[in-house]
Amino acid sequence: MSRDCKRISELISDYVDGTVSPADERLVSEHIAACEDCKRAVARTRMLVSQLGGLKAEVPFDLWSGVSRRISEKQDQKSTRGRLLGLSGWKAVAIPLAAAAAAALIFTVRVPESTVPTQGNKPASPQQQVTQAAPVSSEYNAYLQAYSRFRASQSLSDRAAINAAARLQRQEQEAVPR
Amino acid sequence: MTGCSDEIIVELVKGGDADAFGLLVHKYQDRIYSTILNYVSSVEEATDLAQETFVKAYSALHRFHGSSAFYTWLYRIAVNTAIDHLRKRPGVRIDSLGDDRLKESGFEPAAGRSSDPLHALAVKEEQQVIRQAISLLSEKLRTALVLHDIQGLSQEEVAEILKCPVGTVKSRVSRARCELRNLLGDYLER
Repeated sequence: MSRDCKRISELISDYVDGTVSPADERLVSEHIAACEDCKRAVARTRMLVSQLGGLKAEVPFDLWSGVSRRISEKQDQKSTRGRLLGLSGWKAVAIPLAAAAAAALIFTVRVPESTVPTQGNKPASPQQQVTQAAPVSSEYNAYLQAYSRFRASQSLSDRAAINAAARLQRQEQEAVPR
Repeated sequence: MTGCSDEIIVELVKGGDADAFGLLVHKYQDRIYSTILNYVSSVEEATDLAQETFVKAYSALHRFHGSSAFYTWLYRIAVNTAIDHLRKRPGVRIDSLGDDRLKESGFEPAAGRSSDPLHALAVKEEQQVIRQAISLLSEKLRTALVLHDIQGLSQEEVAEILKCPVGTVKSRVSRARCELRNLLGDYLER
Protein backbone atom coordinates (compact mmCIF):
# COMPACT_ATOMS: atom_id res chain seq x y z
CA MET A 1 0.00 0.00 0.00
CA SER A 2 1.45 3.33 -1.05
CA ARG A 3 1.46 6.39 1.20
CA ASP A 4 -1.36 7.86 -0.89
CA CYS A 5 -3.44 4.69 -0.53
CA LYS A 6 -2.97 4.80 3.25
CA ARG A 7 -4.20 8.38 3.36
CA ILE A 8 -7.16 7.51 1.12
CA SER A 9 -7.97 4.47 3.26
CA GLU A 10 -8.45 6.80 6.26
CA LEU A 11 -10.91 8.92 4.29
CA ILE A 12 -13.00 6.16 2.71
CA SER A 13 -15.54 5.87 5.51
CA ASP A 14 -16.29 9.61 5.52
CA TYR A 15 -16.19 9.68 1.73
CA VAL A 16 -18.92 7.03 1.58
CA ASP A 17 -20.97 8.92 4.18
CA GLY A 18 -20.48 12.15 2.26
CA THR A 19 -18.97 13.87 5.28
CA VAL A 20 -15.49 14.68 3.92
CA SER A 21 -14.42 18.21 3.09
CA PRO A 22 -14.67 19.23 -0.59
CA ALA A 23 -10.87 19.12 -0.85
CA ASP A 24 -10.71 15.55 0.54
CA GLU A 25 -13.60 14.49 -1.65
CA ARG A 26 -11.71 15.64 -4.73
CA LEU A 27 -8.58 13.90 -3.46
CA VAL A 28 -10.38 10.56 -3.05
CA SER A 29 -12.23 10.85 -6.35
CA GLU A 30 -9.03 11.57 -8.28
CA HIS A 31 -7.19 8.77 -6.49
CA ILE A 32 -9.78 6.03 -7.04
CA ALA A 33 -9.99 6.96 -10.71
CA ALA A 34 -6.42 5.69 -10.99
CA CYS A 35 -6.15 3.09 -8.18
CA GLU A 36 -8.07 -0.18 -8.55
CA ASP A 37 -7.45 -1.32 -4.96
CA CYS A 38 -8.85 1.85 -3.40
CA LYS A 39 -11.71 1.92 -5.88
CA ARG A 40 -12.64 -1.60 -4.77
CA ALA A 41 -12.34 -0.59 -1.11
CA VAL A 42 -14.79 2.27 -1.70
CA ALA A 43 -17.23 -0.05 -3.50
CA ARG A 44 -17.00 -2.65 -0.73
CA THR A 45 -17.55 -0.03 1.96
CA ARG A 46 -20.67 1.20 0.15
CA MET A 47 -22.01 -2.36 -0.02
CA LEU A 48 -21.12 -3.01 3.58
CA VAL A 49 -22.94 0.12 4.79
CA SER A 50 -25.94 -0.82 2.69
CA GLN A 51 -26.02 -4.36 4.10
CA LEU A 52 -25.57 -3.16 7.68
CA GLY A 53 -28.59 -0.93 7.26
CA GLY A 54 -30.61 -4.06 6.50
CA LEU A 55 -29.67 -5.76 9.75
CA LYS A 56 -32.40 -4.08 11.77
CA ALA A 57 -34.52 -6.76 13.35
CA GLU A 58 -38.02 -6.85 14.79
CA VAL A 59 -38.58 -8.33 18.19
CA PRO A 60 -40.29 -11.74 17.80
CA PHE A 61 -42.99 -11.03 20.39
CA ASP A 62 -44.21 -8.14 22.46
CA LEU A 63 -41.88 -7.60 25.41
CA TRP A 64 -44.24 -5.65 27.65
CA SER A 65 -45.90 -8.63 29.35
CA GLY A 66 -42.52 -10.03 30.35
CA VAL A 67 -41.22 -6.63 31.39
CA SER A 68 -44.29 -5.83 33.52
CA ARG A 69 -44.10 -9.25 35.16
CA ARG A 70 -40.44 -8.70 36.08
CA ILE A 71 -41.22 -5.22 37.39
CA SER A 72 -44.05 -6.63 39.56
CA GLU A 73 -41.78 -9.35 40.90
CA LYS A 74 -39.18 -6.75 41.82
CA GLN A 75 -41.77 -4.59 43.52
CA ASP A 76 -43.15 -7.56 45.45
CA GLN A 77 -39.68 -8.32 46.76
CA LYS A 78 -39.27 -4.71 47.84
CA SER A 79 -42.67 -4.46 49.49
CA THR A 80 -42.10 -7.68 51.41
CA ARG A 81 -39.01 -6.11 52.90
CA GLY A 82 -40.48 -2.72 53.54
CA ARG A 83 -44.21 -3.15 53.92
CA LEU A 84 -44.28 -0.54 56.68
CA LEU A 85 -45.52 2.61 54.94
CA GLY A 86 -44.11 1.40 51.65
CA LEU A 87 -40.55 1.90 52.79
CA SER A 88 -37.71 0.78 50.57
CA GLY A 89 -33.93 0.46 50.72
CA TRP A 90 -32.23 1.06 54.05
CA LYS A 91 -35.39 2.52 55.55
CA ALA A 92 -37.12 -0.84 55.15
CA VAL A 93 -34.61 -2.30 57.58
CA ALA A 94 -33.75 0.66 59.80
CA ILE A 95 -37.24 1.91 60.63
CA PRO A 96 -38.72 -1.43 61.73
CA LEU A 97 -35.60 -1.91 63.85
CA ALA A 98 -36.04 1.53 65.37
CA ALA A 99 -39.69 0.72 66.05
CA ALA A 100 -38.72 -2.49 67.80
CA ALA A 101 -36.12 -0.66 69.86
CA ALA A 102 -38.63 2.02 70.82
CA ALA A 103 -41.17 -0.61 71.85
CA ALA A 104 -38.55 -2.34 73.94
CA LEU A 105 -37.74 0.95 75.65
CA ILE A 106 -41.37 1.61 76.49
CA PHE A 107 -41.89 -1.72 78.15
CA THR A 108 -38.55 -2.30 79.82
CA VAL A 109 -37.13 1.05 80.91
CA ARG A 110 -38.56 2.27 84.18
CA VAL A 111 -37.69 5.77 85.15
CA PRO A 112 -36.44 6.15 88.78
CA GLU A 113 -39.16 7.53 90.95
CA SER A 114 -37.09 10.52 91.96
CA THR A 115 -37.08 11.79 88.38
CA VAL A 116 -40.83 11.38 87.94
CA PRO A 117 -42.86 14.45 88.84
CA THR A 118 -45.37 13.80 91.55
CA GLN A 119 -48.70 15.34 92.33
CA GLY A 120 -48.22 16.51 95.85
CA ASN A 121 -47.10 13.51 97.91
CA LYS A 122 -48.74 11.02 95.61
CA PRO A 123 -46.49 9.07 93.26
CA ALA A 124 -47.26 9.35 89.56
CA SER A 125 -49.65 6.76 88.22
CA PRO A 126 -48.23 3.89 86.09
CA GLN A 127 -49.82 5.54 83.09
CA GLN A 128 -48.02 8.78 83.88
CA GLN A 129 -44.77 6.86 84.33
CA VAL A 130 -45.01 5.29 80.90
CA THR A 131 -45.84 8.62 79.34
CA GLN A 132 -42.96 10.32 81.03
CA ALA A 133 -40.54 7.49 80.42
CA ALA A 134 -41.00 7.19 76.69
CA PRO A 135 -39.58 10.21 74.89
CA VAL A 136 -38.22 7.96 72.10
CA SER A 137 -41.65 6.50 71.52
CA SER A 138 -43.42 9.84 71.28
CA GLU A 139 -40.78 11.19 68.90
CA TYR A 140 -41.05 8.08 66.82
CA ASN A 141 -44.84 8.28 66.74
CA ALA A 142 -44.63 11.92 65.75
CA TYR A 143 -42.23 10.96 62.96
CA LEU A 144 -44.56 8.22 61.74
CA GLN A 145 -47.52 10.56 61.74
CA ALA A 146 -45.57 13.25 59.90
CA TYR A 147 -44.27 10.71 57.40
CA SER A 148 -47.76 9.33 56.82
CA ARG A 149 -49.09 12.84 56.24
CA PHE A 150 -46.23 13.53 53.84
CA ARG A 151 -46.88 10.35 51.88
CA ALA A 152 -50.60 10.96 51.78
CA SER A 153 -50.20 14.51 50.50
CA GLN A 154 -47.55 13.42 48.00
CA SER A 155 -49.67 10.68 46.52
CA LEU A 156 -52.62 13.05 46.24
CA SER A 157 -50.59 15.64 44.36
CA ASP A 158 -49.05 12.93 42.17
CA ARG A 159 -52.46 11.62 41.34
CA ALA A 160 -53.57 15.11 40.41
CA ALA A 161 -50.52 15.49 38.15
CA ILE A 162 -51.18 12.14 36.48
CA ASN A 163 -54.81 13.00 35.86
CA ALA A 164 -53.81 16.38 34.46
CA ALA A 165 -51.25 14.79 32.15
CA ALA A 166 -53.73 12.13 31.05
CA ARG A 167 -56.29 14.84 30.29
CA LEU A 168 -53.70 16.71 28.24
CA GLN A 169 -52.90 13.52 26.39
CA ARG A 170 -56.52 12.86 25.58
CA GLN A 171 -56.93 16.40 24.32
CA GLU A 172 -53.77 16.03 22.22
CA GLN A 173 -55.02 12.77 20.77
CA GLU A 174 -58.42 14.17 19.98
CA ALA A 175 -56.77 17.12 18.26
CA VAL A 176 -54.78 14.87 15.89
CA PRO A 177 -56.71 14.35 12.64
CA ARG A 178 -56.99 10.73 11.54
CA MET B 1 -50.77 7.57 21.98
CA THR B 2 -48.28 7.67 19.08
CA GLY B 3 -48.00 11.43 19.33
CA CYS B 4 -47.16 11.20 23.02
CA SER B 5 -43.70 12.54 23.78
CA ASP B 6 -41.25 10.48 25.79
CA GLU B 7 -40.98 13.27 28.36
CA ILE B 8 -44.70 13.15 29.18
CA ILE B 9 -44.68 9.36 29.45
CA VAL B 10 -41.63 9.44 31.69
CA GLU B 11 -43.38 11.92 33.99
CA LEU B 12 -46.48 9.71 34.10
CA VAL B 13 -44.38 6.69 35.05
CA LYS B 14 -42.51 8.69 37.68
CA GLY B 15 -45.90 9.76 39.02
CA GLY B 16 -46.80 6.12 39.64
CA ASP B 17 -48.47 5.03 36.41
CA ALA B 18 -46.47 1.86 35.74
CA ASP B 19 -48.63 0.93 32.76
CA ALA B 20 -47.52 4.09 30.95
CA PHE B 21 -44.08 2.51 30.79
CA GLY B 22 -45.60 -0.02 28.38
CA LEU B 23 -45.83 2.78 25.83
CA LEU B 24 -42.08 3.26 25.99
CA VAL B 25 -41.51 -0.48 25.73
CA HIS B 26 -43.70 -0.68 22.63
CA LYS B 27 -41.99 2.29 21.09
CA TYR B 28 -38.41 1.13 21.59
CA GLN B 29 -38.53 -2.66 21.85
CA ASP B 30 -37.52 -3.29 18.22
CA ARG B 31 -34.60 -0.89 18.38
CA ILE B 32 -33.33 -2.24 21.68
CA TYR B 33 -33.76 -5.88 20.64
CA SER B 34 -32.12 -5.19 17.29
CA THR B 35 -29.14 -3.57 19.01
CA ILE B 36 -28.66 -6.36 21.53
CA LEU B 37 -28.94 -9.03 18.84
CA ASN B 38 -25.48 -7.97 17.67
CA TYR B 39 -23.92 -8.98 20.99
CA VAL B 40 -25.51 -12.39 21.57
CA SER B 41 -25.91 -15.54 19.58
CA SER B 42 -29.58 -16.34 20.03
CA VAL B 43 -33.00 -14.74 19.79
CA GLU B 44 -33.80 -16.00 23.30
CA GLU B 45 -30.79 -14.26 24.81
CA ALA B 46 -31.57 -11.07 22.92
CA THR B 47 -35.21 -10.96 24.07
CA ASP B 48 -34.17 -11.75 27.64
CA LEU B 49 -31.56 -8.96 27.68
CA ALA B 50 -33.95 -6.54 26.01
CA GLN B 51 -36.49 -7.19 28.77
CA GLU B 52 -33.76 -6.77 31.36
CA THR B 53 -32.84 -3.43 29.76
CA PHE B 54 -36.40 -2.14 30.17
CA VAL B 55 -36.65 -3.37 33.75
CA LYS B 56 -33.38 -1.61 34.60
CA ALA B 57 -34.63 1.55 32.91
CA TYR B 58 -37.88 1.41 34.89
CA SER B 59 -36.04 0.91 38.17
CA ALA B 60 -33.65 3.77 37.45
CA LEU B 61 -36.21 6.15 35.95
CA HIS B 62 -36.25 8.33 39.06
CA ARG B 63 -32.59 9.09 38.33
CA PHE B 64 -33.34 10.15 34.75
CA HIS B 65 -33.71 13.92 34.76
CA GLY B 66 -33.99 14.54 31.04
CA SER B 67 -30.55 16.07 30.51
CA SER B 68 -30.33 13.77 27.48
CA ALA B 69 -33.06 12.26 25.33
CA PHE B 70 -34.79 9.24 26.86
CA TYR B 71 -33.87 6.98 23.94
CA THR B 72 -30.13 7.76 24.16
CA TRP B 73 -30.32 6.93 27.87
CA LEU B 74 -32.14 3.68 27.03
CA TYR B 75 -29.63 2.73 24.34
CA ARG B 76 -26.85 3.25 26.85
CA ILE B 77 -28.51 0.86 29.31
CA ALA B 78 -28.99 -1.67 26.50
CA VAL B 79 -25.37 -1.52 25.37
CA ASN B 80 -24.10 -1.81 28.95
CA THR B 81 -26.43 -4.73 29.63
CA ALA B 82 -25.26 -6.53 26.48
CA ILE B 83 -21.57 -5.88 27.17
CA ASP B 84 -21.91 -6.98 30.82
CA HIS B 85 -23.54 -10.16 29.55
CA LEU B 86 -20.69 -10.73 27.09
CA ARG B 87 -18.07 -10.23 29.79
CA LYS B 88 -19.67 -12.89 31.96
CA ARG B 89 -19.08 -15.41 29.20
CA PRO B 90 -15.41 -16.38 29.15
CA GLY B 91 -13.60 -16.39 25.83
CA VAL B 92 -16.16 -14.36 23.97
CA ARG B 93 -14.54 -10.96 24.07
CA ILE B 94 -12.18 -10.33 21.19
CA ASP B 95 -10.12 -7.17 21.14
CA SER B 96 -8.38 -7.50 17.81
CA LEU B 97 -8.98 -9.43 14.70
CA GLY B 98 -6.77 -11.98 13.00
CA ASP B 99 -7.21 -14.66 10.39
CA ASP B 100 -6.66 -17.46 12.90
CA ARG B 101 -9.37 -16.20 15.22
CA LEU B 102 -11.66 -15.79 12.28
CA LYS B 103 -11.23 -19.43 11.28
CA GLU B 104 -11.52 -20.60 14.88
CA SER B 105 -14.84 -18.81 15.14
CA GLY B 106 -16.23 -20.92 12.32
CA PHE B 107 -16.40 -18.03 9.90
CA GLU B 108 -16.54 -19.36 6.36
CA PRO B 109 -14.25 -17.46 3.99
CA ALA B 110 -16.13 -15.56 1.30
CA ALA B 111 -14.23 -17.22 -1.55
CA GLY B 112 -15.34 -20.67 -0.44
CA ARG B 113 -19.01 -19.81 -0.57
CA SER B 114 -19.28 -18.31 -4.02
CA SER B 115 -19.93 -21.68 -5.70
CA ASP B 116 -23.30 -22.04 -3.96
CA PRO B 117 -25.72 -19.57 -5.57
CA LEU B 118 -28.70 -20.69 -3.45
CA HIS B 119 -26.74 -19.91 -0.33
CA ALA B 120 -25.83 -16.51 -1.68
CA LEU B 121 -29.47 -15.72 -2.35
CA ALA B 122 -30.63 -16.46 1.15
CA VAL B 123 -30.83 -13.07 2.79
CA LYS B 124 -30.97 -14.51 6.27
CA GLU B 125 -27.82 -16.45 5.66
CA GLU B 126 -26.13 -13.32 4.41
CA GLN B 127 -27.17 -11.44 7.49
CA GLN B 128 -25.91 -14.27 9.62
CA VAL B 129 -22.50 -14.05 7.94
CA ILE B 130 -22.34 -10.31 8.54
CA ARG B 131 -23.44 -10.71 12.16
CA GLN B 132 -20.78 -13.33 12.63
CA ALA B 133 -18.17 -10.92 11.32
CA ILE B 134 -19.52 -8.16 13.58
CA SER B 135 -19.19 -10.49 16.57
CA LEU B 136 -15.45 -10.58 15.93
CA LEU B 137 -15.04 -6.84 16.38
CA SER B 138 -13.91 -5.43 19.71
CA GLU B 139 -16.65 -4.12 22.00
CA LYS B 140 -15.85 -0.48 21.26
CA LEU B 141 -15.76 -0.83 17.49
CA ARG B 142 -18.83 -3.06 17.48
CA THR B 143 -20.89 -0.68 19.60
CA ALA B 144 -20.05 2.35 17.46
CA LEU B 145 -20.83 0.41 14.27
CA VAL B 146 -24.08 -1.09 15.56
CA LEU B 147 -25.45 2.25 16.76
CA HIS B 148 -24.33 4.23 13.72
CA ASP B 149 -24.65 1.85 10.78
CA ILE B 150 -27.36 -0.55 11.92
CA GLN B 151 -29.51 1.65 14.13
CA GLY B 152 -28.93 4.65 11.91
CA LEU B 153 -28.10 7.06 14.73
CA SER B 154 -26.02 10.14 13.97
CA GLN B 155 -22.42 10.41 15.15
CA GLU B 156 -23.58 13.02 17.65
CA GLU B 157 -26.24 10.70 19.07
CA VAL B 158 -23.75 7.85 19.34
CA ALA B 159 -21.30 10.19 21.09
CA GLU B 160 -24.06 11.10 23.56
CA ILE B 161 -24.81 7.43 24.24
CA LEU B 162 -21.17 6.44 24.62
CA LYS B 163 -20.22 9.66 26.45
CA CYS B 164 -17.24 10.24 24.18
CA PRO B 165 -16.24 12.89 21.61
CA VAL B 166 -17.80 12.80 18.15
CA GLY B 167 -14.30 12.41 16.66
CA THR B 168 -13.87 9.17 18.61
CA VAL B 169 -17.14 7.81 17.22
CA LYS B 170 -16.09 8.76 13.70
CA SER B 171 -12.76 7.01 14.10
CA ARG B 172 -14.33 3.86 15.61
CA VAL B 173 -16.93 3.59 12.86
CA SER B 174 -14.24 3.99 10.23
CA ARG B 175 -12.01 1.33 11.83
CA ALA B 176 -14.95 -1.04 12.33
CA ARG B 177 -15.92 -0.74 8.66
CA CYS B 178 -12.34 -1.28 7.59
CA GLU B 179 -12.04 -4.45 9.71
CA LEU B 180 -15.38 -5.77 8.45
CA ARG B 181 -14.42 -4.99 4.87
CA ASN B 182 -11.26 -7.03 5.28
CA LEU B 183 -13.11 -9.84 7.06
CA LEU B 184 -15.87 -10.16 4.51
CA GLY B 185 -13.61 -9.66 1.48
CA ASP B 186 -15.13 -10.70 -1.82
CA TYR B 187 -18.36 -11.63 -0.07
CA LEU B 188 -19.40 -8.00 -0.24
CA GLU B 189 -19.19 -7.89 -4.02
CA ARG B 190 -21.32 -10.92 -4.75
